[in-house]
Amino acid sequence: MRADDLIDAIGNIDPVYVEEAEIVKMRRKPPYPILISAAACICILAAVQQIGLLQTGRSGSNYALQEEIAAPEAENQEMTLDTGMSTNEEMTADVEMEPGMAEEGMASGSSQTQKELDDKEEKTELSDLSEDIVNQIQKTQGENDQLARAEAAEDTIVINQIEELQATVIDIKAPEEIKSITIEELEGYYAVTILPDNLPEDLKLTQKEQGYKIGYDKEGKVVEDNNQIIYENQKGSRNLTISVRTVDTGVIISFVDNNLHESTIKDTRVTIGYCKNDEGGYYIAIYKVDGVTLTVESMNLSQEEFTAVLRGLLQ
Amino acid sequence: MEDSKIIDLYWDRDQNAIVRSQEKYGRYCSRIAGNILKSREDCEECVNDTWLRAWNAMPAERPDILSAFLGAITRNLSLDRYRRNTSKKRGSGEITYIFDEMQDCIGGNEIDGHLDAMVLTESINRFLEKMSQDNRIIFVRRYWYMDSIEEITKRYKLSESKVKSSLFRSRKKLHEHLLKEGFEV
Repeated sequence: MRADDLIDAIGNIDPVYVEEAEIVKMRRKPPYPILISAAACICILAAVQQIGLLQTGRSGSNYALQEEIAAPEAENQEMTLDTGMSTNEEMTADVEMEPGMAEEGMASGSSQTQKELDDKEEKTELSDLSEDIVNQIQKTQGENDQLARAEAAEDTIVINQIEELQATVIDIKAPEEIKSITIEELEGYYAVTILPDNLPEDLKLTQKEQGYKIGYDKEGKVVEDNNQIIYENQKGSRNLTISVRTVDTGVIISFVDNNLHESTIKDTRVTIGYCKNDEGGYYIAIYKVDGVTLTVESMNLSQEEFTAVLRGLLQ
Repeated sequence: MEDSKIIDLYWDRDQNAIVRSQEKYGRYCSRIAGNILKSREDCEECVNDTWLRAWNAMPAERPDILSAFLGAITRNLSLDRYRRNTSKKRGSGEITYIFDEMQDCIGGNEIDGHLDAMVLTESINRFLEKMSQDNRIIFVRRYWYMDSIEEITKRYKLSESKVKSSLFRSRKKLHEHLLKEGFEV
């Protein structure tokens, strides 16, 4: 037998297999295998309440949360926990912001270490300012923090343990015309927020070689607009991918389990999945807003960072 | 337009069949040709010839799956063109690697002799039937569509090592399967 014989014979295989490889859904495991199998579904109500559970401050909450998820008795239970904000201030949503004041305090996704460094830098920079101005800025930043916490308190975050995802490839209708657009134009095209402004600082936008594309048929109707925006840290160990589309084409990631619990973030229903192993954690969130479907995936971002990004996208 | 309606156009000898086929499956067939042939002109010719072949094949045949039917024609035409272009010397690009990989399935020895192509295809169908869906999809993407490893990894968001190991295992298993079914490999 010759290699040509085999290649020719493969060319005549049952067309069912050919079609399957073109359009049929292919299940895939999340990037990391699941170590936690005991908890089929963990519901976590994220609310800022003065409770004893997990009051470990901004940095400690993520780790404590994962430990809670891993606990076998956690199956199908609901937990109320601190979202990681400091708890020594009274919560209020009724905060007046002065025009033009900075919103740095809104970024809740940064890590404790980074925040400490930022605070230190800010304090150094502020040392030259008059005491009144310093007090005013600190007061406003504190108010902004309060506002962010108040908004977070209104959200309901539900993290579903997932074991596998489904990738569907839809690639049938050929666009008559493909237009390349910049990332800024992309946000204008979808008319929803697709570029979060509260990313962890180490993540940088990766430049796509071919840019972003919208495909049109001959009547000018959009037939292809599944674009991916990818952020990555320098080492490549942490990343965030935002896939956005209005038309179901290209690679579409979906949950296999249809009975997952939904989160509510800024009044939008979002399904969030998570799996982890020793190397790190993988989060995925899928939601639809104004006819635009967004799939947000992260590698090695903390839950706090991930949900902060979602809040940024849904603002 | 639905596939059944396009097939009806072929059966009715309506030339819109070609227009509709090109509209719906032009890119699909171009991609298959592009995986085999590097020249754009060659690809275009093979894709254009595909509609003609389909026109001649129907109504004698009524394909169950139009995409696979048209894709198979493009694949065969492109392979013929590839062989004609490269004659005895191997060409370049992805298909070179695919020919090399096929050596794993035939034990590294190319043996000339009579071979019933249909019998071999039926045997491969039995092999595919036994495979897991994921491995089968990767196998078909690589050896039917002639996709590069990179294209498969992007398409299914799999790691390169996962795709390569899946293909390696599949080739070894196909070799064992063919031996078991009495082929000289």
